[in-house]
Amino acid sequence: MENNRQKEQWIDEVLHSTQGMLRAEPSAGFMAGIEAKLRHPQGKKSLSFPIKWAAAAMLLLALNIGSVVYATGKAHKTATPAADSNPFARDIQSQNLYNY
Amino acid sequence: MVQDHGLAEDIAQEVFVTVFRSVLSFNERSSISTWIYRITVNKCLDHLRAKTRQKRSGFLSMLFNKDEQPLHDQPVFDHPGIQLERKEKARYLFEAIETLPDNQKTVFILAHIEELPHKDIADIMNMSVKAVESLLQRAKANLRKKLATVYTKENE
Repeated sequence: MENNRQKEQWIDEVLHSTQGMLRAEPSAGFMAGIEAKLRHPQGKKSLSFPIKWAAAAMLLLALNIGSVVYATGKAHKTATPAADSNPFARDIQSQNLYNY
Repeated sequence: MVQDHGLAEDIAQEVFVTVFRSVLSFNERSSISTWIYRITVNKCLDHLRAKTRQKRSGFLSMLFNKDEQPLHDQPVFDHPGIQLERKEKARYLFEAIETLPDNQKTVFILAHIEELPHKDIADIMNMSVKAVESLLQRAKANLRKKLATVYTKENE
């Protein structure tokens, strides 16, 4: 009980420790810094962080889609040469087979 | 808000530059002090967000490159305007404030340290007075919780 009271008192003291606080004073070169910033406009603005991440994600997605399309296209091409070894398959492909 | 004297000066200089360049676009819907406070708060929040992003990317680069030095924790903030006998307690307060979410931190600093009326804080942060009071209540509750943990650790 006593410990709780002491704890609450300490917390109150900490929360009120900034009472009567004086404002911080600027350093001697403060005005010179403002003048320097006014004379030299801000540098080139770079892209914001979320835009950079979105661009990176889009690039990865495009690469993935491209590689999938390439792989399926290749698989389709490799499937057809096997038919050359089978003469019947060639006929089916050329649609010269007649139903008698 | 940034808990760094040099950085605070840098931001203050940028605020003056922004005010000088945009004073013609000031529409007088609020008072000029509110307008300047709003610019200052936004610049501080921009810096805090950039620092969070930097910490995240630094953590990721640490994961992949074991030779990287770990990020240093921010040194304890010592406000120059606080009386000597209260400095130690103020350090605990500033450490606890640093753990608050940005909006609670901003409202607490404006209310408790800048001692602005709630109406002015609502104008600066572009929210209702009720929202400011709710944030302030949550900030104080979170600070009390954090400080209770610190007290228990210090007195173990």
